Amino acid sequence: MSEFLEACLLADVAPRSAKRVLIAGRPIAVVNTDEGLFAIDDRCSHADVSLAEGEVDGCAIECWLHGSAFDLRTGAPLSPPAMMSVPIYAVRVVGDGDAAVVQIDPTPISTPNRGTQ
Amino acid sequence: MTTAAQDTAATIDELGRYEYGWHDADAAGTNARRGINEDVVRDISAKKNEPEWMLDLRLKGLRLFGKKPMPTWGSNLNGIDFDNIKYFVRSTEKQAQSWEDLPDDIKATYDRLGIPEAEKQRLVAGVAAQYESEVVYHKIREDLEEQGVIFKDTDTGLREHEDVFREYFGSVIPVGDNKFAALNTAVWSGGSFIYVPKGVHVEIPLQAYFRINTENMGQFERTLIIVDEDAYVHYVEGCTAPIYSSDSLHSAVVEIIVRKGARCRYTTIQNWSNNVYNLVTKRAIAQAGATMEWVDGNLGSKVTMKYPAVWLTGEYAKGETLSIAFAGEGQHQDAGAKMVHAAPNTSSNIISKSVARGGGRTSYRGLVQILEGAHNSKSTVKCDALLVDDISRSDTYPYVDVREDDVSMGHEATVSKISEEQLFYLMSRGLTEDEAMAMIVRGFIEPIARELPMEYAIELNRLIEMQMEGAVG
Amino acid sequence: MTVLDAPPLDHSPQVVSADVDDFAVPTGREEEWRFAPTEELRRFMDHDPDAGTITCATGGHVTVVPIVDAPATDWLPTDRPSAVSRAGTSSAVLVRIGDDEIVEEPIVVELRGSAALNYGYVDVTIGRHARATVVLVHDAGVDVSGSIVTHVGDGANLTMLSIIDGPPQAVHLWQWHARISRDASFVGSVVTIGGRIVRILPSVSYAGPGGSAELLGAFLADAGQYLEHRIFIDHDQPHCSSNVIYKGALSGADSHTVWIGDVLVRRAAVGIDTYEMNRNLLLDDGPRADSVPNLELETGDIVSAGHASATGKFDDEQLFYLQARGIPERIARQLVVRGFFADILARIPSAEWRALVLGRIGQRLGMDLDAHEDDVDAEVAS
Repeated sequence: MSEFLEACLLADVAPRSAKRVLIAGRPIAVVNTDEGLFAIDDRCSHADVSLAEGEVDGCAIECWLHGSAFDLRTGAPLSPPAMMSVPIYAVRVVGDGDAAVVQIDPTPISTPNRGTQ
Repeated sequence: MTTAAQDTAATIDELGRYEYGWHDADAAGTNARRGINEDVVRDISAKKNEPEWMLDLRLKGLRLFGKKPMPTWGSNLNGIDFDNIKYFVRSTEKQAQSWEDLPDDIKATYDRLGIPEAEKQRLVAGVAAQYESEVVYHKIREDLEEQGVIFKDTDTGLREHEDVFREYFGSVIPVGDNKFAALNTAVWSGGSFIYVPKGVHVEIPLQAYFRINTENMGQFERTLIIVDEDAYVHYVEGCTAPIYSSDSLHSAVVEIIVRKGARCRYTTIQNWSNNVYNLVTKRAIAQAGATMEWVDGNLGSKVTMKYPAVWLTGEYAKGETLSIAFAGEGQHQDAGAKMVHAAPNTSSNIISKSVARGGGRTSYRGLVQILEGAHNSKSTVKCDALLVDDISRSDTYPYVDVREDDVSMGHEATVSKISEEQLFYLMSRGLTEDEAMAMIVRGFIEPIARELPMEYAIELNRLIEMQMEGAVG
Repeated sequence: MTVLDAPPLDHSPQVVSADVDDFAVPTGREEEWRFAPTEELRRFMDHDPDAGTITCATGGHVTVVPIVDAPATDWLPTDRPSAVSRAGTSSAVLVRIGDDEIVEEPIVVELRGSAALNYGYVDVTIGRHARATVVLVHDAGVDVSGSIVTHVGDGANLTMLSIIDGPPQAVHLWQWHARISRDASFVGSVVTIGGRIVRILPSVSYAGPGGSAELLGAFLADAGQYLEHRIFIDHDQPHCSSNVIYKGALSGADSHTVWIGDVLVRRAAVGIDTYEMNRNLLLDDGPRADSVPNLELETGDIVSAGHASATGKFDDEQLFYLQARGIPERIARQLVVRGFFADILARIPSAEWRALVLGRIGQRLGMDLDAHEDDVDAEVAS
């Protein structure tokens, strides 16, 4: 059974940006895109860099250090240098307005391990 | 009496000294603007009538270039003054269709490089000669065209094959890969675009000559090569540049996609003048059963940082890098290779040879990575350095990262110096000292020289011999 | 004009200081910390008032003195944990072998901690033309951050063996510096078997020409273990030699070993001879082995220099060969592992300690590496 834990206020994650949160001791990036809210491990699979510090582009987040972008729906890398997927998590919003809270299920959604290249 | 060591130093001193230190009247370059900002980038894109998405990509490159840190490793890049570089220089307004159409000063430059000779003898399949930022001379043999092979300068490629560019441009090396790839994306101009259709074997190497001919001018060529399934191509890139008093920057990006069962070989011989910073990002993707080979020779420049890479993404893909570096006085060759094994049964092989003299520095820097899932992969790395005097420097920085158990990989490096015994032995067989030195150096680099196209191998050997001849007296 | 900081010219430690504040708290992005689980090592980065101290039984050549009475040395910490530990330790373990003294029996020092987390300082000094063997045993099952400082006098001959063992939850952080005087020879072996996070930084410097250093290591990583051995050899004296051989066997999920071998040959170090080798044997699925030999030469006037690194799976060919000779797979595997470590074990000074190390390696691998020939025969016959 999945269990959602509180991550942050929705208002803390500006549109087209990401925020690093700690869920059960694990750093996760909450990403606010035009296509909705996503949660992805806050660690690039290429060089252990925080993805939350990267740029949000459509439904992808791009690592600032070496430019690999990851599809937030699957965690798969869209271009080298990264080759491995990054774990993603189920995310939901509870409440409305300023009080809206982002919740994350800390069990990763299982996805294929590799991008298609 | 001079000692053998002193003679050795004198002989080798000549090696690596730049031979093509002449330059033509600098007519096109003096008008170009220095420094980089959004206007410069927009201007380049507008002059080329580019689609909007390419302009957006350039602007993203500019933004990331500003944001990204300089490398915290490798060579000292303090001498680069980004504000004093011309980012775009157009040497002719229109591309020439034949040799006769070229302006006289450009023809004179190429005559000295021997291009018409090569063309006459049909040694090359097509010549894309980059003079300053634009390709000015471009010819492809008719039979290649009939086979459907596309060999264009990158600007023309973008105009005529926009859909292909949208799909592949930046797909191997993203805009934000590193600071210099971001810069290249912002201001790129020229370079080659090659597409080889399924099953087509291009029998003769495709060649391109590149030249920097404007003081403080950056060359930011961008090359995109797609070798379709079961096809083969050998692309050859050569560089020489005139000597100038202040520093130049050369920062190219080369992206290659080798599809299933295809093979691509990319040969570079670079002989930049001793004031050029040569910071190049080269990466290929090798799909299932594909083979990518980099043959990389670095003979000039002030600083070279270049690590041709192969991402082995399909099962049974192969990657090979043969690298040779020569560093003379004041030069640092920081070169190597990267191999990323991302699929089962992939194999890679790196052979690096370097020669340092006169206080020069050669560094081998490599990366071999075997990712999870890349079962049964194999990699071997062999680095040899030859030191010909006591004041030169050689470093070996391999990096090995294995995340699978059923793999085998090895790295081996040796550093040796030319010993008096070796020289004595050869001289006792009747060779002069400089002949002996040349023989030792030639023997050392022979495993890589023999992989070069014949004319390049001859050029390399001649360079070594010539320098040896002048040294005694 | 764009002004930039140049990257460091070589891999020598960037900060060398006794002052904790000279070292930034590592983030994990620094070259020397990029593999280590820095988050989990956070408590070693600042002084812990509850930390205990490392001691041992005294007698013979071994004493324990208050840290203020420890003799001065020219060694300085090269990272933050060792600076914290050097500043925070309250006692020093001293091993002394006088000039011209020949000690036949190994001097065994079993290190003990007084709290859950301990700081330690060990000083092993051997006088000129002396000869001795010192065995340091770290298996107390407590967390330790410490430094071992070794001085080898002119013409002396010191063999050391350091065994890192004990329960699989302990953390061992050690800097181990050896300073080798004129014509002296030093053999420093590390056998790392236990501990959850182990980070050993052996380093060598030379105080005069003609010194010889041999660094040997055998390490075994099992599920969840992180074992890092980071070597730095600083050749700044002429006609010295260094030879490094480290071998690791890895098994289990998420086991991770890191071997870094940095050798810097400075301009003055003419006529030197250096070689480094690391081999890693991957026994099953899951482990990760990082292996980085770095060689930097600032002079071309050397005798020879080189390094080699190889990581491979358990050799099926060898196994097949042995099985083809009628040796059962279980025994064949033991023979292959034993063969893998043979050259390291051969350098362990006494048969007794050799057997002990082999026994512990075998125990960890679930193999009886001490099996005699007749045992093999018996199994083959059955």
